Amino acid sequence: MRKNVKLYELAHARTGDKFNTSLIAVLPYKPEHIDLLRGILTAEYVQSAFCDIVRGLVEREETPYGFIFVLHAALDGGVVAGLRHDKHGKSLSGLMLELDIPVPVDFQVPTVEEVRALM
Amino acid sequence: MGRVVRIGSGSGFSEDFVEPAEDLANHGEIDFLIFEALAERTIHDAHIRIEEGVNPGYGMLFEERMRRCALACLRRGIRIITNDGSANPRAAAEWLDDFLRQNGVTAKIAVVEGDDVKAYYETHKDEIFTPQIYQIIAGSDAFLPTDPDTIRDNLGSANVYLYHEPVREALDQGADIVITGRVADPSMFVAALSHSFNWKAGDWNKIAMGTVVGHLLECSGHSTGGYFTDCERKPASDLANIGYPIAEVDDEKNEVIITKLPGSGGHLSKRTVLEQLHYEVHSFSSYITPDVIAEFRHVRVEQAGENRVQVTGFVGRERPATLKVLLGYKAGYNIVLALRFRGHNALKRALLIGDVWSERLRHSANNILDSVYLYNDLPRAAALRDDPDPKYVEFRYSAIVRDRDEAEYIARSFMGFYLNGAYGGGGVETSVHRYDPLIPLTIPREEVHGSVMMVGAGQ
Repeated sequence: MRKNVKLYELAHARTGDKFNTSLIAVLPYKPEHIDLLRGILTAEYVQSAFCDIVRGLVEREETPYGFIFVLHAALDGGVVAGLRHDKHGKSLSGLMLELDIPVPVDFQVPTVEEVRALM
Repeated sequence: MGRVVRIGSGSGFSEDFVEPAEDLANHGEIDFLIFEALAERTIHDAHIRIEEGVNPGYGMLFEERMRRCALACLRRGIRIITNDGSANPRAAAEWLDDFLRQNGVTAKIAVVEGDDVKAYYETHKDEIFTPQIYQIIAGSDAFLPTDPDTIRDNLGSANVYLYHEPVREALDQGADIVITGRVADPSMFVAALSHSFNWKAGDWNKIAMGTVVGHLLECSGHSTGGYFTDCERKPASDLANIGYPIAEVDDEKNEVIITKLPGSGGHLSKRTVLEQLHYEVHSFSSYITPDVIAEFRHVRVEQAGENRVQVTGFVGRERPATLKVLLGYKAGYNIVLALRFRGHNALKRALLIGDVWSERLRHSANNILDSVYLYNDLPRAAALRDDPDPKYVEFRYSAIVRDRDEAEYIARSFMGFYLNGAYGGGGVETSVHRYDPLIPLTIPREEVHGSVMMVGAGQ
């Protein structure tokens, strides 16, 4: 049996951009959740979740603290040539953190207080 | 200079808050105050301002920053480095020299130039702007709505990201203030440290240390609680009084402490620094600058007390053979149109307007180079997936057309939706702006000549 939790219950994120590429870092609050997310928050999962926005490929690199997602051709031009309101795609981290993460039913997400103490 | 050098971050882009820099100038125990002021678009926009006679081509807040910070910095022995000279660092230096003299002060002001490489592209444009350019651009993900001929015939600006050496040379010559155009953001920090510790050329690990310092300070409040809080799990207090970061660099220990002014607002922790370490990085194996290829994989970040974060583990390898150029050109006009809906079926009504608008355009306009239809800034399918029935929706149409008159006619004809759209549609916005995209190119290092010039009374 599994249930869904929201990625923002497990990790924080920061979005940046270079040209038409969006770069989203996802950093789990707790180091042990890097292992959990490795098999779930894959490049393929992010690619399919962002399929209506990203025209290019999604790549993922693991760092000692989390993951960097490189979303190619994701910004309709980006800040140098863009057509969107949020030309930098700054708000895409908010969409990323809304993703559902399937976990075992007995899985406990860290409490808000627990996370605040780590921040 | 001593074993530990302290650098304050004065700004992270041209329109950044001025007050936190003023606080550092007045109260920071720092050796350098570095103002980073150039995002990707900034220099090209400054060139447009020169062309249109709006200002001399330096940053729009440069004068205000210097009015508030320069005298305190000179009095307290803090050296200033900034790329806020933007498209015209010489004019910025002349204004500053004049301002200082009016205040009875003289200073050694250095101008770093050589980043403007438009002449190179004018000379080589027939070889460079060929259909091959599509492959070069595609590799960098840039967006090219036009053809190579349009670029060749409408070159606006071309600025290379300069390396740290000319900035260091200016400091070595005794400059109190160094004003540059396009210098890579971290390179200004590398220059300050390389000068202070007399680093040797090719000491890639040291240059990587300077680059990490630059990366953590180049976005000002990004390391100290700006762009961070989620109003729930991630705290930031007194954001109105945010303190910009200070780096204390220990050259013997190869250790950096990130801190901020006591009593300032924001939030500084291992987590804020980690977020910034990951910011706009494609790969932790290679963070590429004109000075070095830094390997962030080895960087370790630890809390070292309240408002103190320790950063160690600096590894770099040889700098790249080519340098990056941003080239801007005139490609037409950008039309932006918006219309808002509230309440039940707001998205359905917005989608209907999108369809009707598209059909009307099919009957009239035919020179649209590219366009997007957005609902709360998302394409149709993504908007529906995000929330099928939001209570507020902004329909936005953004397009590029070659001709100004046509752009203005299209923009005006959108306003008819006030009377002829779906119920409750309001807040119509229409605008037409010059559309100058930028593309990234590379230039051989030997074609670029960074240079230093001293100006004014203090030389």
